[in-house]
Amino acid sequence: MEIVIENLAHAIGDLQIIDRLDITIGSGEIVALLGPSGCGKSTLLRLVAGLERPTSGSITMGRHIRAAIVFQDHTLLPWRTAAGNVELPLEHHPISVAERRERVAAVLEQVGIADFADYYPKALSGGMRQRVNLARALVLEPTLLLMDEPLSSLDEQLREILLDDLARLWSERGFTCLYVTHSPDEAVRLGHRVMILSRRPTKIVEVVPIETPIEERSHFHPAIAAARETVWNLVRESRAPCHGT
Amino acid sequence: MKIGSIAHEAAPDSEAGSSRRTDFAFAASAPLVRPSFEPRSYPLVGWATFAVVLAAWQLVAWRQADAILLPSPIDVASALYGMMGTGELQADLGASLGRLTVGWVIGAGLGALTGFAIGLYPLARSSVLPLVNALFAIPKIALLPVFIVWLGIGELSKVTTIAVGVFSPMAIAAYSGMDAVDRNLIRMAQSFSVPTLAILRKVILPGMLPMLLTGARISGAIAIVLLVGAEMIAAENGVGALALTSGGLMRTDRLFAAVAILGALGLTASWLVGLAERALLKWR
Ligand SMILES: Nc1ncnc2c1ncn2[C@@H]1O[C@H](COP(=O)(O)OP(=O)(O)OP(=O)(O)O)[C@@H](O)[C@H]1O
Ligand SMILES: [Mg+2]
Repeated sequence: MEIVIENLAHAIGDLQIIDRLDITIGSGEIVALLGPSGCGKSTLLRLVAGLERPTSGSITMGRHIRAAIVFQDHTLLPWRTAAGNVELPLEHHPISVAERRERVAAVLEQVGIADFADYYPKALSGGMRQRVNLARALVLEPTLLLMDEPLSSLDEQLREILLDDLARLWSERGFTCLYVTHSPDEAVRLGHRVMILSRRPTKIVEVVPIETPIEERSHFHPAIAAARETVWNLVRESRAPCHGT
Repeated sequence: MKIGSIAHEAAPDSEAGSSRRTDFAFAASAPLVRPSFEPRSYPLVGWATFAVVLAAWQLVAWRQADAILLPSPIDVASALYGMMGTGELQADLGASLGRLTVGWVIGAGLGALTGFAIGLYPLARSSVLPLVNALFAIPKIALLPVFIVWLGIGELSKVTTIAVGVFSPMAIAAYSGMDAVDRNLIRMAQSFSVPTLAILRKVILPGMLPMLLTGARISGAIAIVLLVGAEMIAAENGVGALALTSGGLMRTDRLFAAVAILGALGLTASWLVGLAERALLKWR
């Protein structure tokens, strides 16, 4: 098992955000997390990444994990170009400058913004920034990818393309992944399991396993369409009581 | 920039069109340009304003006729030229520039370091910050007599006054610049296991740079004010002393020349900071 989250609880001030959460994620598994806004998905990713210490409970991981986060908020360094931002994670690894440049160029190509390598973030569109964000996480060839709504501000076509890219990338590299999203479509396209979370304090409402191999999935695949409907209904149910609060 | 200029070109066109149109079309012909709130400026307008002020001054000086009360720009220019010939100007300006530079560099350097410490260490924030704030409120020229008693009437007391005056604004700029750095960026760097020292260099320092340069701009002006004060109170040479003695001798042409030099000094300082801003903050 790659990641074991046990009895996890987390509070910020008086606000109990996560309460007794147990998740086990296998090596090379993609777990999609769906949940209402503000339920603590980003917080959970930060905890898994070790950026914050949980109030109680434990998160154990395999030893040789290289984790990378795709953050939800804009976290590009404004004083660095797209290429410079993607280069950042590599700068503290023992690889030559030439190889560094090569890998940056390759990953920028991969997410389709090679032409904008020398642009500063202010001159990039929201979707382009998000792709730089993605490229920066991918450049280290992580074994664990923590993604926080990585495709949320992209247009539909690009989202399709990047979903296919992520699926292909996963079959090439087989990384483990926690994929936070608001989109049932994204969840059923990438997740081996889709977890639907409740409102704060976060609990798992339902887990939907999806058997179809990731490489075979598409928007129109019958099994995927069925899973999407299931997930949609569960999401609707999980949200129903929270209106007006 | 481009959008702005296109809109400006289009404006006269649409006005010409509106005169031919009927009344109800009038509202539609109003320019669609909204203020962009971008820090743009027209350099030529600055020079033109300067020229207009000079011309007006020349005119008033001619009509007013009393060259002692108000010397004309030409009088002032010739006084400047004369002092340059005798080498007085170079000597005074050199003395002033020396004090200004040494005082500013020491004060700004220590101030920035103190600001870093306040930004980085809660203990420094709790202990040093109140002192910095208290010091900021004291008119530093009032400390000159103290420094003269302690350090003598020589260069040291004047340089110290300037350094102390520059210290607080620079410290405040540094720590508030550090506070303003987006925590998410620091978290991001940490998530990629960027070492702490590198985070300081690659995230915090560039992030606080805009504020630091603003601090440099403000403290530069403060340094000039203190320089003149110190030179008027306790100096044989320097532009401040030149102004004071010229006034005492009713040589208002030289007095105005000294004032003009101080203005030029201020302009140069802010131009230098502007240069640094353009070089270092082109990402904005
Ligand atoms: N630094 C903080 N201080 C106080 N409260 C916080 C802080 N960060 C997050 N919270 C609270 O924690 C809760 C969960 O936040 P989080 O960002 O994890 O939600 P989320 O599930 O990612 O939401 P979204 O889907 O909108 O991104 C929210 O109620 C938020 O107000
Ligand atoms: Mg979030």
